[in-house]
Amino acid sequence: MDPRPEPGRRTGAPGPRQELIAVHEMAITQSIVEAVIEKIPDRKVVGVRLVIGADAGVVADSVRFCFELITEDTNLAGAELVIDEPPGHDLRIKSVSVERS
Amino acid sequence: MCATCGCGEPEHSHAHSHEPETIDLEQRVLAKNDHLAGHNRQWLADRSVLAINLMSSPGSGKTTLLERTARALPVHVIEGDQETLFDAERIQATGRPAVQINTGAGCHLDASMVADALRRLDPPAGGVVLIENVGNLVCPALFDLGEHARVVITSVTEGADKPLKYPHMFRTADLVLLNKIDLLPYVDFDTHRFTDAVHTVNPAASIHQTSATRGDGIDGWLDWLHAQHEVASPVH
Repeated sequence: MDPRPEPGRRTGAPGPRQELIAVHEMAITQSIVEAVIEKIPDRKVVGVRLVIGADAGVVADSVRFCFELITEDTNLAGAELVIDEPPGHDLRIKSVSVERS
Repeated sequence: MCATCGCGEPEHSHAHSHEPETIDLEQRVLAKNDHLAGHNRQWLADRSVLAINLMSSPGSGKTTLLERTARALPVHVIEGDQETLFDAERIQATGRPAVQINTGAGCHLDASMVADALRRLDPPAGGVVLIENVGNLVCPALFDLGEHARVVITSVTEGADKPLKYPHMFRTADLVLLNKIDLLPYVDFDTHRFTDAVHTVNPAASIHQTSATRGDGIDGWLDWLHAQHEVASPVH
């Protein structure tokens, strides 16, 4: 068996490291979704643009995975997630796209 | 001809009401946690209480170090683990107050959990609160708890290259404790390589060697705590 972790693996039983990363990004993604809902509580959000710096300590791919789970049954459900990954520590919600009322 | 849609009609308006509207948020993701951490910092300052955030991988000897610290100093302890009350019970067995936070699926403590624990713990003015974060070298690094200083504990049974593998954690440390040095004769751990690795990611970090089980280096660790306490709580 190949002992190396599979990067980006999302199915099956998580390895210990995978599990840690997944829950860590889960909390980060949760705060992203909460912050968006706080700002835009009652309009359909169709897109979210994030900036996750390469040294921010957050794995963009895990955020994408968590985002889909967390936004179910919210006004962000199905929203397109775009992540800019510049160098540096930046970790920021840049903008959101909402349906015009 | 209309220049926008290319139809044969003269120039006319195109209200693209179906297109989404973009709203700039420019909000830091950790803004809420940082805000709550600021409240914790103020709460601690109002009481001249020193708070230290201790982080490490599981099994580095954090709780043993805290037990020894609790026998030497009148500290208050916040224990973070995913499950069980084991660590709080170990501290309470030394006669010092301890509050356990169980994070469930969560892999780190955040400022909101610590705010709640501080109120339950209710340390006296001029006290010292030691916060044992969840054993994990990844997630706790991102979350400010309102602490005065951060300590990362590594043991010689781990790899000397840990600081390079987990740079976020070591980058934010004020003090790095190298624990279990009583095991140095039995393990292949290069302390010079470790020191170099720490200073590569964090040139300002102090490194101090301890054996929480045998007692080596504990005086130096207590001296460091005293020095931090004098800054946080000059009148006490």
